[in-house]
Amino acid sequence: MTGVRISNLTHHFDGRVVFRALDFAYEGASLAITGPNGSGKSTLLRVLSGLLTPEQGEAALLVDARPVRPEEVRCAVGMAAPDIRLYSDLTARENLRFVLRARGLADVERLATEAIERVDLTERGDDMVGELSSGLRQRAALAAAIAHNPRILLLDEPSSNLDEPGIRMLYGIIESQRERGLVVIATNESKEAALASERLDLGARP
Amino acid sequence: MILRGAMAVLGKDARCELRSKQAISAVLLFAVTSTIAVSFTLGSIGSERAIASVLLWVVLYFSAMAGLGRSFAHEEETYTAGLLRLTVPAEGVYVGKLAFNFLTLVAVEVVTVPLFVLLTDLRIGRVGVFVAVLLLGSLALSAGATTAAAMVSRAASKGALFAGVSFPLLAPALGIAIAGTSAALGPPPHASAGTDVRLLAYYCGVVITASLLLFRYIWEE
Amino acid sequence: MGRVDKGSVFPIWLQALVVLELAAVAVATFLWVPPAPGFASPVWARLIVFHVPCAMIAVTAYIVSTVYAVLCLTRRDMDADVKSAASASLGLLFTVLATATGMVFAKMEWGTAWNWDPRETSILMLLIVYVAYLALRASIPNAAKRARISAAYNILACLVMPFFVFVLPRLSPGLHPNKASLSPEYGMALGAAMLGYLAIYVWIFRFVVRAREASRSS
Repeated sequence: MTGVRISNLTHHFDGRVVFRALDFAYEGASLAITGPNGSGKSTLLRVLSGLLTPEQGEAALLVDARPVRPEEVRCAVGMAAPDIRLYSDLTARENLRFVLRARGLADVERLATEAIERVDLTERGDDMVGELSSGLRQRAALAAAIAHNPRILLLDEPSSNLDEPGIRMLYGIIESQRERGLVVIATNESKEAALASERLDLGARP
Repeated sequence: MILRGAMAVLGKDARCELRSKQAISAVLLFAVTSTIAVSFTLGSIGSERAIASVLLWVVLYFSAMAGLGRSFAHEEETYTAGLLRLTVPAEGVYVGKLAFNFLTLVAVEVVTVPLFVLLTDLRIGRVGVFVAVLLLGSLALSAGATTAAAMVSRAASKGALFAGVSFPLLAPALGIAIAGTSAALGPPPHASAGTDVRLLAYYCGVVITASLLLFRYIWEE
Repeated sequence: MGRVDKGSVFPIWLQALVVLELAAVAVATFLWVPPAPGFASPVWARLIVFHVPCAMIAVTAYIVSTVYAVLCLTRRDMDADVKSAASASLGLLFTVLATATGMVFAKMEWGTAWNWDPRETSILMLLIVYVAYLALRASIPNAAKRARISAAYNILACLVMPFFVFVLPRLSPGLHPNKASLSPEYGMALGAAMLGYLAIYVWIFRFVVRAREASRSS
């Protein structure tokens, strides 16, 4: 059983309040975080992934009903966000090899190839990421997020820059992630939000 | 896990560097031209141990300042730091970057030290100690510079701040390395050179251990 | 934004006492303490009554700053960061004073303002550490990051300091005199000056900490 637990989350950014004593609990396989620009969707994902330590309170990812510990996040969580980019001087495949080796996984070649196939990037998988169009770069970033088959997938505006086939591919990934564990999507797209079983709307808060 | 992460970082940095040649070309150009400038103005100073060792280390020190300051800033500017934070433990990032910076400095030395020896007609009394001081001194410079580079990675004017912040951390190692090199250039026996090698080893131990313990605080968001 | 009430940092009677005490030390140094024999310029030798306490407080301020830096990291305490920075700013002031008085004394006593004597070099390094620390702080806008990174720097610089002990003696044999050769009046003046300056340090420290905490919470 997977889920999300947020308790008394408070954080400021540049003097502005982002969260003020936010409480939320969810159990399930797919959660959408919605809200207008600047409402804190990306910040919440960063707190969930452990990239950002909040001033007060906590936001935890739950796997088998217990919170994922900071040491476990590396292998249990995958994330794709606009400010998490791949290395432009490496090919998509080399980027994948890097993230897989960094996580200490064996069988790097097979996992990398699988991830590239899942995002339909096979023909351009050995081109420099810097030479790819923004849509293809987005696919490569998704590949890097799913290559190690994480229990939890965090996606921040995943469909930006994707074309029609890309969006279909993305929905396929979201579907299979629901079966594997948990997917949390921060988005403004109502179609994407509808894929989730529950929605946390940050815009509704005062 | 830390070691595997560190090796992944080292491999990744090496591959990126071999393609873009960003850091190495700047440093190498600086180091070679400084070496030539120094040798040109002084001529043959092979017998002046003190001057020779000071000049050699001045060139190496400023080469380090020129080339090692951007190791982290580049990651932050191109938004790849997030990927690094998600996949590699903090200590692994430090060790990987340290290894890369050390190897860069050694690569520079492989070119400039023979050049310096040649141009100044330097006579080295104890080659083994000379090389040991060179390597340990470079490790010491790399250790402090890597930590300092991480600290200034988000600042606006990184170059000047990096050099200023690095200096207090590196000055003792610089002093010991110069003394050790000076002793190594002389004829054997020179008791003090062994002490300098030991001191540099302790220094590296202290700085690397402290940086490993503190890196988490420096690196996290 | 709260106005800081100066009276609450040190009680008025203590403030008056400190000011009077320091005035007394200044007067005593120039009028009562006899010129020290064995010095090249006995009149200017009195400068050490100001120089030595400044130097010792400069070092003390750094140790205090490092202790708070450790507390800031281990307890994630932002108050400790405010104190660490305040002590560093004060330490910089005392270091500048110590260096300046030292250079005047050196010029009078030994002929040159700077000699790379081990103590001179250490105070210069301390000065550079303070400046680098404050410059680093100024470059980081985010308060939490600034606290963590400057605390880490503070601790690293402190750990690296002992290695200077091995470097410095080789630069120069050392000019700083052995203090046992001074008359007892000097001892008393030095001790009194030390107390006075220490009181000034604590006074300004508490004032600065109170002011910064008030502006942080507003």
